[in-house]
Amino acid sequence: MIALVLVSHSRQLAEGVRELAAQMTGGQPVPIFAAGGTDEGTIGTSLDKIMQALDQALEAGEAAVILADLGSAVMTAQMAVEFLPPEAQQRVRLADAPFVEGAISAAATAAGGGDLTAVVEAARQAGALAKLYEESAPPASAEPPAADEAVAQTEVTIVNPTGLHARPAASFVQAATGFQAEITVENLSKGRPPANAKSVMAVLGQATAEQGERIRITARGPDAQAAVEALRALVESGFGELEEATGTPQAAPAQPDAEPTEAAQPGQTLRGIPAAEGIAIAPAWQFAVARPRVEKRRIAEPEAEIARLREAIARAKQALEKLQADVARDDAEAARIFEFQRTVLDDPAILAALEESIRREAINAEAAVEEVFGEWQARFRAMESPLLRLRAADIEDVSLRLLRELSGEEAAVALPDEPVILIARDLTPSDIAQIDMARIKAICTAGGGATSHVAILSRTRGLPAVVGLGEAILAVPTGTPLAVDGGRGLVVVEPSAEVIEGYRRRAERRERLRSIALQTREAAAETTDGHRVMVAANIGGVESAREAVAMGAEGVGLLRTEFLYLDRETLPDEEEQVAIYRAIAEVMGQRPVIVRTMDVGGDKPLPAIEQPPDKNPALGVRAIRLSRLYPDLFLTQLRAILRAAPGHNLQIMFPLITTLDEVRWAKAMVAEAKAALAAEGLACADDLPLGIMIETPAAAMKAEELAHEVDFFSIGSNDLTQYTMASDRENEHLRDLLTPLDPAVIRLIARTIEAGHAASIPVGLCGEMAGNRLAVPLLLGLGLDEFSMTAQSIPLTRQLIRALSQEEARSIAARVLSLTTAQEVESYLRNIAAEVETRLEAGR
Amino acid sequence: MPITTSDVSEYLRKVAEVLAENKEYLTELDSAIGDADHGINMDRGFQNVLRKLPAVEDKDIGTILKTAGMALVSSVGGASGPLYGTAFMQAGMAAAGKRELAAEDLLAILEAALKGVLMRGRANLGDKTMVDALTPAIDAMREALENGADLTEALDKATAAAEEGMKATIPLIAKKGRASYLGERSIGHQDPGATSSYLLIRTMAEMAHAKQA
Ligand SMILES: Nc1ncnc2c1ncn2[C@@H]1O[C@H](COP(=O)(O)OP(=O)(O)O)[C@@H](O)[C@H]1O
Ligand SMILES: [Mg+2]
Repeated sequence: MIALVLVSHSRQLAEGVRELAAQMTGGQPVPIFAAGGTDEGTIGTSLDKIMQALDQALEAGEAAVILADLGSAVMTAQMAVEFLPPEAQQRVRLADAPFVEGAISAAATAAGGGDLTAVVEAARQAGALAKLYEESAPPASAEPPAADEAVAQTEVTIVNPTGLHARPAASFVQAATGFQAEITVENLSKGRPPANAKSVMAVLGQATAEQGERIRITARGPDAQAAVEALRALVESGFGELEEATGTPQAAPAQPDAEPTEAAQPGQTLRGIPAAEGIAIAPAWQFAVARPRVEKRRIAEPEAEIARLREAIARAKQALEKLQADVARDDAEAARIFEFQRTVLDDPAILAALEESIRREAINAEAAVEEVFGEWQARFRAMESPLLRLRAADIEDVSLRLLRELSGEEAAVALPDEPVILIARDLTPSDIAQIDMARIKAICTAGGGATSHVAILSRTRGLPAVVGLGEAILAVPTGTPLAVDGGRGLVVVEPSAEVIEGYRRRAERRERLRSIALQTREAAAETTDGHRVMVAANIGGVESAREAVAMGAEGVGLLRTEFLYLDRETLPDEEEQVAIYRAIAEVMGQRPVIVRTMDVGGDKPLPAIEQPPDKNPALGVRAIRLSRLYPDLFLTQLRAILRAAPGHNLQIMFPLITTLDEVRWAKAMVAEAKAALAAEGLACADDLPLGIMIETPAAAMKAEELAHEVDFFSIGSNDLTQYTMASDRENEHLRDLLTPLDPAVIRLIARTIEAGHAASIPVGLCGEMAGNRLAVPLLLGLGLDEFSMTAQSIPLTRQLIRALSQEEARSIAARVLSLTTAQEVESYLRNIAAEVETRLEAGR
Repeated sequence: MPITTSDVSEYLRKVAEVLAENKEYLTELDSAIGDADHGINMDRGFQNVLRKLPAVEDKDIGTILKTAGMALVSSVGGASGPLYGTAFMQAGMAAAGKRELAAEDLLAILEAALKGVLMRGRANLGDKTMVDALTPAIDAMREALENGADLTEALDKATAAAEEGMKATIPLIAKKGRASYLGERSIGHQDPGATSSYLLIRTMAEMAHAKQA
């Protein structure tokens, strides 16, 4: 990393610019040192201070760039450099650049990993850029700007892995639209002209940016400053991007014309991008939505046609909203996919283009839709960024939807009766929503990447999926036998008998275990020697509560309440929450339901409230910390839970506890909520069990003390792993480190369970680990009381528990505790799992 | 009579005295077209030179001058710090190892000093800086020496030229330093840096006279 040294006549200025520049680093640790003022603190420059700063900078960075505010600062800095040993001099450059802009630009480039020359150049160009802005200011309103019109501007580096693209671009535009000011955004790194920030098309057309690139946001108008700040905060927060951060966006294969299509040969294996795990063998089925035939017609009254179009757009928007809400009930993340499409329908550039083409050419709305959307689609397909190319499918989807609305036709998808492997060029979210997934065994697409809709949605539906297979997959005729391995991204065309056999054996084994498990799902999760544990579900809404019951969950170990807060502009009020908690509690009957208070903030920002910016969201203001910042929000939620509780078995759990103080505070808030409800004469449960999540090493280390404060523990193994291993869950390079089977994590878990039991409180675990077939014997042996997992994993887990004895599990745990590396633990547990599964198959 | 190490030390002390006396004056000049600190800066710098001087007084002239240069850069704070600092340090390099200086040596040293100022500040003649006093002074000194003048005479010529150069900065528009931000408003004021340079040259001439007597 290149370090910066800021030399100014004024100590305050140097400090101030340091702060300003540090904001440009998007959380990257760019070392910046300020050397301002004389040794006495008066105005002037100090050779000593500069030399000190240089020493530190050369220590902290591979090289250093100096920025100075005035000529004499430059001169003193030059002298300081001359005093360095020759080797060090090589690593220092003085940037001939405006102090403030130069520093900001240099910091941003350094944060992006730029080398010495790049950083100096970035600083130098900051001056030119500033001028450029004045000469070619964005085309503002027709009227000359009022003298007092505010102009605000900022430059910021894109930090999220996907960059400023589809969904981020949509949220950017949404945020921009909320302001009166005229706003433009431009990609400085690519040197593109400014784009209207209120048009998603304009933004996507000329202002897209990749991670690490710098954009400039300019606003002019009364709320310019606020607009620029809000947009910057949004960019800096990484657009609240979640699912996309879980993997590197992978390039879709080359476009059709670049790659000659060859029909797949029998036995040929096509390689794609693994999108969702699982194995399937079934005939291929080519999915193609019939595109309504559009005839271009002359129309007499363009205005009437425009009105018809507007109505169709309004209906399409409603339909999208409904679709989004439906999907959101189950999977708030996946629902965000529709956000982009909605924004397209709101896009001023598109709307204007549609209306103009109707007016100018006097053509029917359908023809205009085809023309305008076709153009945009072509534009997207031709884009450099694979992510943007993926969005072409969204545009296609929106246009189809509009055409259907205009014609009043329903899209009908007739699936064959036999289960099939669905093949498509790309599937749009609405395609997926329309298809009866019960008849699909796997999905294969030509386009798409690991972060495409297909990938996301099939994962949530538990369907194996391979994407990015290229044109070859489209050449496979319907009915051709296929074998799909979603986890490895393989599709075998007309597989040989052996291949089928191999795939089948693996698939069957899973299936068999699963069906045995399903048959025995009512059986208690009891070991062969009579030790009983509870197997519960992690849920996020009413739908998943039903699924949990269907899968035999004995309760809910984790009700995520985030869905109530995310993806909406307003906060859920008490009544809304009471209704939802009640609805869920009703589905669960007398089974216990642990309601976790809002685990939002950090990387799951709430649109409805203002959050302190977090450079490092995982370590920032989230979960209980956000509750402490917004006690009213928290209180509303507590009141709602308390009110929903009578007649049900609700429990409250606080997330991300690190100190005793937080627990005491949360308990006091519960008491306060109770008192208030009592005073208002509202019925509420009096003695809800209160528990905490143990998901920080701090909490695990203090489990003994914490145990005395609460009625139960629930170990959040995902976060506990991330924090213990100091590895960001979203960082794909750290996948190897991020294993809950690392001895450090296991020891913290063991410790937590022990402490809980010493205080006679039950200890559960509600991370992915609870349903992991390798981890279950270990957790059982450590004495875990409750295993909470996605409903899908319940049958197998319960079955596994029933195949083990507590004595055996204890010795497994003892053995694991003596191991020193995650690899050892994993291979040992893998053997155990294989052994137990063989036993299971043989036994029944 | 050659210039000795103790002459150089004495010169530095004298300059400190002269600058202390002219502190207000220089500052006043700087207040018209700068930030009203040149006198303060120079005074602070040379007071620091006085503090550093005793430790090197028995060393060669080069060391003394370099030490003075260092003392200036590390204490002056304004543009004149690195400029005069560089000047003295370059002068020190030119005098490295020397314990006595002939008139020609002094000329060479002053030329090195000016080169240092030009290298550091990149000013051109006429930019309304100390360069406008130093350049004609050194030119005059060279010319005098070439025409067979002795050191005292040559320094008198240099002083006169410096004074003329200093005064000639009055109608100029500043092109370097803080004054340059004033643009045309810098016209009509004498440059403080040129003035201090003149004082430095003049002090040299005064010492030569005193020594001759
Ligand atoms: N680039 C330069 N080259 C030569 N002399 C300069 C330059 N910049 C400033 N000066 C001189 O420095 C003088 C100002 O010195 P001073 O007041 O100590 O510094 P500052 O301008 O930083 O406050 C000016 O009058 C001018 O003669
Ligand atoms: Mg000054």
